[in-house]
Amino acid sequence: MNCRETASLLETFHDGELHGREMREVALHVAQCADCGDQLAEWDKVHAALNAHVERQPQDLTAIWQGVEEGIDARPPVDTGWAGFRIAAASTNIRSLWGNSKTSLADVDETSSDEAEEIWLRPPTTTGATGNAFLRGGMALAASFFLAIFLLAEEEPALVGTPEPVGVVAKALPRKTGALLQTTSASSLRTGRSGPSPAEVFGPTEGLTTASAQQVQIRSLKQFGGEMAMWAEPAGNTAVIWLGEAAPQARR
Amino acid sequence: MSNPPGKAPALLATCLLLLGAVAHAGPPPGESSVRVEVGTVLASNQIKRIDQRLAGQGMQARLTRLFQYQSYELVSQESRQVEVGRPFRFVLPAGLVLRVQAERISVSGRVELRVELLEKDVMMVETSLTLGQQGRVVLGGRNHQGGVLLVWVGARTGRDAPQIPSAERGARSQKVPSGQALLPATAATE
Repeated sequence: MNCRETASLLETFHDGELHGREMREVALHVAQCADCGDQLAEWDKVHAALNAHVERQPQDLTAIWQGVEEGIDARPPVDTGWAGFRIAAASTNIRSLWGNSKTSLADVDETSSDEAEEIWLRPPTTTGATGNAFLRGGMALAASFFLAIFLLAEEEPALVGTPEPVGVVAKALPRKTGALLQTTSASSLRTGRSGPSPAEVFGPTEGLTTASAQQVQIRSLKQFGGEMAMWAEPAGNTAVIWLGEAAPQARR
Repeated sequence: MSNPPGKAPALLATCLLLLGAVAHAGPPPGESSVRVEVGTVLASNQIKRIDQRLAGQGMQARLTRLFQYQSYELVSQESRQVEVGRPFRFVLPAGLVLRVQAERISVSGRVELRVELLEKDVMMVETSLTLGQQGRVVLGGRNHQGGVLLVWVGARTGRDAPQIPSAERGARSQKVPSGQALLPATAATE
């Protein structure tokens, strides 16, 4: 990524709205290019200045509230059991999916709130209660499994880093993607090799904590001078430690 | 109270299967060494060529997934049996030295390694990592001959370590078409 491309993405990068590859490429470029690093610092200043000087004017909400009240008045009267009814209807619909019940949302729509409550409490009207319990248990297990996969799955290639990254560039990275660049100080990002300066990246219990038996788990890492980047392929079987002598041509 | 006659063989077979699975999952008892594989690749954009020997190492797919260079040339490669707790030194191209020490082998066969990369006796990076059977770590970024050196490290327990075929050993001394001499990495116990 060159300076021109970086400049066009710098504001988005600063706001933490870039996606993984772009985020990393911009971060790497900014780490290695003093001009772009300065531009990023300028963005920091601009945002800080804006946040400091924007005055929130009190707004007159009277007119808005009057409109809301008129809208409420214009609506037909609502059954007091409406909210409970809708919840019960929805739950019945879920029950119809899980318990193979014949009750549908359309059926429930014409019931009163008392009937809805009855439906809510009524056990599923299907045969084979044991099998049904197994089915529901299995579905719950499967749902939990997929939910766990969804929560644990990383959208981007796994990155590892300190919980509190240091350095100008690392600060701009959103936490959800982790820290890409690690150095001992902000100055070492700019000055490159400046003698031995060990940078502890993460402790023994951090890193690729979800590593499977096939994967790589970096337990500790010390880098002596210069910049460093680190990333892994999605499968996690290969981790890269990049010493910043040359910009990596990482695959997008 | 006695078991039905048909259950005993089934129970025995189950136990044997479980024992077999456990024995297969973990490293052999008393295993004290691992096979450490170290390879060096020159990645560049000068020509479009991927060294076919990388495919045999399972590295071609990994590298092309991670990087977008046009050319990947296998420069050196070494596979050594390393005893746990004993440091080993791999001499790599471009004046690089890789010190590798196997620290522990887990029950699941994963290998804990301590890896240090030095350039002319100056420490560049020092890391402790755990490698699964398919795990590799790539240390990259050193400029060399118009490209970038990528050093990969892998480790396997003795049972799973593939032996380098003799044909491949012979190929090490051959010149590769691009003119890059394929240098064997020199390994030595410290």
